[in-house]
Amino acid sequence: MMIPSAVTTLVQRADPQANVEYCGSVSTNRVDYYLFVLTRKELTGVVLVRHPTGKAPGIADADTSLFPFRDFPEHSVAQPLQEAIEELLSRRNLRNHRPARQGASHQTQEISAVGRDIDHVVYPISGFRLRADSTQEILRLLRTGPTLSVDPKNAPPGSIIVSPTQFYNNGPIFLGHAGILGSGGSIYSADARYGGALTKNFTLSNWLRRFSGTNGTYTFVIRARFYGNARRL
Amino acid sequence: MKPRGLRTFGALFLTMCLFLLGCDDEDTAESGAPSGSSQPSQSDLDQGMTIARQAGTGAAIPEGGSNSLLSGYNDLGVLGGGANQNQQAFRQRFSLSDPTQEQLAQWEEYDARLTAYSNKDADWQYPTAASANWIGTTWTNGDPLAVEGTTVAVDFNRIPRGSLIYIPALDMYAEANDTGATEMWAQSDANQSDYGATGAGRVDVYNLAGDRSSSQVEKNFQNRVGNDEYGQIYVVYKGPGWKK
Repeated sequence: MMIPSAVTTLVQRADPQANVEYCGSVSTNRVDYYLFVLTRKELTGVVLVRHPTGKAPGIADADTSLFPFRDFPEHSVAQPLQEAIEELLSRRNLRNHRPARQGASHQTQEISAVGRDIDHVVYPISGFRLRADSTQEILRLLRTGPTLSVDPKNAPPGSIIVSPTQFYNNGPIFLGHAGILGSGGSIYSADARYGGALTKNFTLSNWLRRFSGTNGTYTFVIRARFYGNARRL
Repeated sequence: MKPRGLRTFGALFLTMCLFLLGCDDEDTAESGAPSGSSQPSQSDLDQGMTIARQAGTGAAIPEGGSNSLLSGYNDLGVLGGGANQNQQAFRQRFSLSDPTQEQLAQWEEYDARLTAYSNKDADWQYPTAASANWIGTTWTNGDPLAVEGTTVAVDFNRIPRGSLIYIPALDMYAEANDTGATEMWAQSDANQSDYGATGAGRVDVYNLAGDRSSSQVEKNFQNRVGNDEYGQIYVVYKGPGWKK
């Protein structure tokens, strides 16, 4: 299927600094959906554009992951649409020789390893696990989980830092990110330049400069022994 | 498969062990701070330190090793062997970091004709006709010509000399300087789109050719910024005042 120029223009204008990769489209009776991967330096994410017949396209969803899949106006198409998008992303990852680095095959549709990299470090120590690569979902899980919200500027080492993706129907898209605070103000997070590997790639100050104005920044301390399986320190 | 009764017993035993561990834990009151507490306990902080150490151990790019491994979106290696280090040093010296979307929105954006020049160009002169323009510029290595990763030549009629510019296609900050050839460019480029109302004119990025020919440098550069040599730049600060 040809991509309408209005769709490509919308995505390119939504984040002019990003590298845009088209992954495919899904058609329903009255709406076409177009799927893109955006990569911008350390960050990578997915954009779903919704294009109703005879109307202007708009951004339906954008984040580091589209899963868990959110509800759409056409509720009846949500499940088949999700399955089609999973298939498109899995094919894209196979094409790019980027199978999930760790874990189960159900993750092959993921583009970013933003939550997986955090889990890999945090879960064996604290017993707390995100099981999500969407920054919006990571923020929700941290807010409702065994954590303590702290001021980002005073967050202690080991805190989880998250700046959720923000977007508007007609753009712009501000891709978000999440990571782990190290000592000395360093941050470790998944880095798209290294295939999503956990990388020491930010300082707290440049994270705040980059994300605070557009995405907001939240930090959380994970409570010790909440699950009773943390190591005695 | 285990008999059902054994599994039930196992689950009960595990539950009891967890309960007993909790009862025996002298830090329970401290680590399990009451709901609504805004201060992490010492146990929370200790656990955080363990997480931070583990993150450092598990990181793919070891501390201090990131520059040598940079590739892709902000790799300036195409400009020459020392380009990444020179850009890094330039940023550190003037406290420059990756621009935010808000900063980009505030800076003045211009169309520009992004081109490459190198020390293998036929019209390369030594000492350069523009040597005088380098006096007082941002680097201190004594090179009267150019430094890969920080040097660009612009048309001073379009961008004031000494301005700080940002080139998004390269993720590169640079001080606006001159090779001494901009009068010639201005004539030859006068009908180009980058000389329109929103144009910055030609922005010629210096490359240290190394083993490459002049044409290879240009080809590498075009591949790096895209096939079309037209691009954008941002003028972060007009004139040399940002260096104070």
